[in-house]
Amino acid sequence: MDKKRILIVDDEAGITRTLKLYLEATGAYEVRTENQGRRALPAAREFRPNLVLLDVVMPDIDGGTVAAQLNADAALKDIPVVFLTALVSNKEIGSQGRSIGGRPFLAKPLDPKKLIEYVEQHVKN
Amino acid sequence: MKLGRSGSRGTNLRVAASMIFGLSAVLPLLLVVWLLSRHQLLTSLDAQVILFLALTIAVSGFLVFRKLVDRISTLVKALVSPRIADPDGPWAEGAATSIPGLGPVDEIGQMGDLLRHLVMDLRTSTERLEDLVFKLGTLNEMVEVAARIPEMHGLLALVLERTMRTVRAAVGSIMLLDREYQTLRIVAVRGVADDLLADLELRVGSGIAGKVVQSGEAIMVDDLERDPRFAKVTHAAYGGGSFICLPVRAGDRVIGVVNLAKREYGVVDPPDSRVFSPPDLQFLNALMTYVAYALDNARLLEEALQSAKQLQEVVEDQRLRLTVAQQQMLQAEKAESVGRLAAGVAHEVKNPLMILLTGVRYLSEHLPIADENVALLLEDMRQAVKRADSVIIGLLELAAPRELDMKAQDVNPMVEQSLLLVKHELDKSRVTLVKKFADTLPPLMLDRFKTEQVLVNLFTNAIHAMPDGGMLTVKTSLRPLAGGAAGNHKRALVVEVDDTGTGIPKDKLEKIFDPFFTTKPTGKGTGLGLSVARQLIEMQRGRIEIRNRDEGGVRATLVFVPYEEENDNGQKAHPDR
Repeated sequence: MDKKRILIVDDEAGITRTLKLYLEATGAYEVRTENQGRRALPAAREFRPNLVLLDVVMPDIDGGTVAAQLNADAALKDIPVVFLTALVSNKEIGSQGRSIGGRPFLAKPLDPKKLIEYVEQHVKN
Repeated sequence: MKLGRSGSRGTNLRVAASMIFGLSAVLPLLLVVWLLSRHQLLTSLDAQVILFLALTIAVSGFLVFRKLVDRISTLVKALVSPRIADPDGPWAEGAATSIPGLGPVDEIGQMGDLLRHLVMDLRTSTERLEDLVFKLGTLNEMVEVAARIPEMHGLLALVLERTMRTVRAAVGSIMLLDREYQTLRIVAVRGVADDLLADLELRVGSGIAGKVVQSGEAIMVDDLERDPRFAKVTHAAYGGGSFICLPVRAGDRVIGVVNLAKREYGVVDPPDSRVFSPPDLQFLNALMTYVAYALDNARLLEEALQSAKQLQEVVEDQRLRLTVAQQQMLQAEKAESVGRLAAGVAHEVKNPLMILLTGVRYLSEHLPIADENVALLLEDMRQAVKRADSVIIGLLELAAPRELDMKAQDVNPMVEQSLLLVKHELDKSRVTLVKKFADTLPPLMLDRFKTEQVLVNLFTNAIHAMPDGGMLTVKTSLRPLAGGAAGNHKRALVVEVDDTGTGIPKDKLEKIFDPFFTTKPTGKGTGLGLSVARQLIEMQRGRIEIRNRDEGGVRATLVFVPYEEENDNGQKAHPDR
């Protein structure tokens, strides 16, 4: 079975590193990480991920802009994007079912076990 | 015996007097002479001399007496005679007759007549003068008093008392005109119980007083009870008999009326049955001219004082509002800065927490050491991260501006739902649940999710306060809203959460709503639950109270005013604070 490709974009290297480690340890995913927002689009074009985990607040380009760039690319616009944000709590997400620009988001800190469950649901086959 | 008029100018009186004198003086003398001659005694010289002397004295006495009687009778005739003498009468000539030493008789008569009239006039004048002096005194007193007594009530009472005394009225009242509402209201009463007239209010144009105000003319009635014009409109308490209602004017404005009655109502035989006289009315008009300005001034002063008081109240109210607004602003600023701080902290802390959580999870799943301690340590680390995260979440909740999703909600189902969420904790802590829900409660405008969040928080606090078991009583009820203004019948919907725990120490009770203040052991609570709860409840215009119960444990109370209660009163009502 082919591994699902996950692109993780977060300015916090600790996050991208530990998530990559954890996801790849499952054996089901191949993970590429980027720590700069502007690097997200070329990486996606090159890596062709099945799902993108995208931080919202980043110093160069924020997650919303990155999502818009991906959406603007015909080849990439169908790739599911899940935001990871430190600005809201899980409680709020659970109660309100919010989204950013129509895309779902997850609150940090998130138990990676739950992240995997979520990824499995949303990953593009 | 008929006394004829003898010859010349004798009168009956004169003849009668001569005969009386003759009988009483001359006859006894003749009797003595007869007795002396019978006993042969008249021959002695001494007796003859004595007899002669007695005769001389008797004749002289008779002459003097006759003269005296003559004068007296002339004088009497003059005094009692008709002024215009009858030309055929006995005094036809006497009109020109003079009494020696006194002058002409008719002049003396006229003078007597005049004197009698003078005495009568003097008596009347003295009475009038006394009355005038009294009235003038009252007038002066009023002028002085008016300048001296600025206080309306005292002035009115004094004016009424003095006015009634000067015209001898038994019942009296003063009514002042409310220009705005065109009604007359009793402001002073005398001679009748205050409460009989206290509520009397007349519209301009109705009743006697109302008509007097309308016309500006005084009304004076001889008998109020019998006068057909007023028999039906008069108020029983005004009394009866003679009645005056006169306008009180300040310049060209009628500012009120004075009502005066001669006697109390129903008194049949009045002690002073006189009626009010036109001079009484005249005097009252004069008195009222003086009094009116004083009353008007006193009223203006009172109005000014009232306005000043109202203004002061408004200022005080505004000051209070300003203070509250300042506090709210301060609170808002504080909240905003806390919000900014919280958002910053959240962002900065959550990323490391994410790294820790992922790392710990990775280690616990992939560490090739089967050491129980390592597993425990990793689990503690995972819990620590979760705790840190819950503090951040609480901080964000406290600081974040919220939007409320207000909808009409039934309270009992909300309480039930919240109890379901803590059922597991209830069972675990062996806490017995007692529900006392009121059957029919009006709906409340609430954000269901946020209110349930508060309820869960209160239930959790109660359960944590009873680690060794106890009883959790949840009661919903509708009660009269305490502290409302008189006549305010608003009701409040109250939710009470009682526990049988150890209660909150007094010194900590006032801090329980402060952020990060907790009485729970470390790790059990963030100290943000009640701060957030209060914020959520107050945002929904409710009130939250926490106090120790007399029978032990704590009572948490939520108070809301149902919107239908607010609507009933036409304005928004806040739960008493």
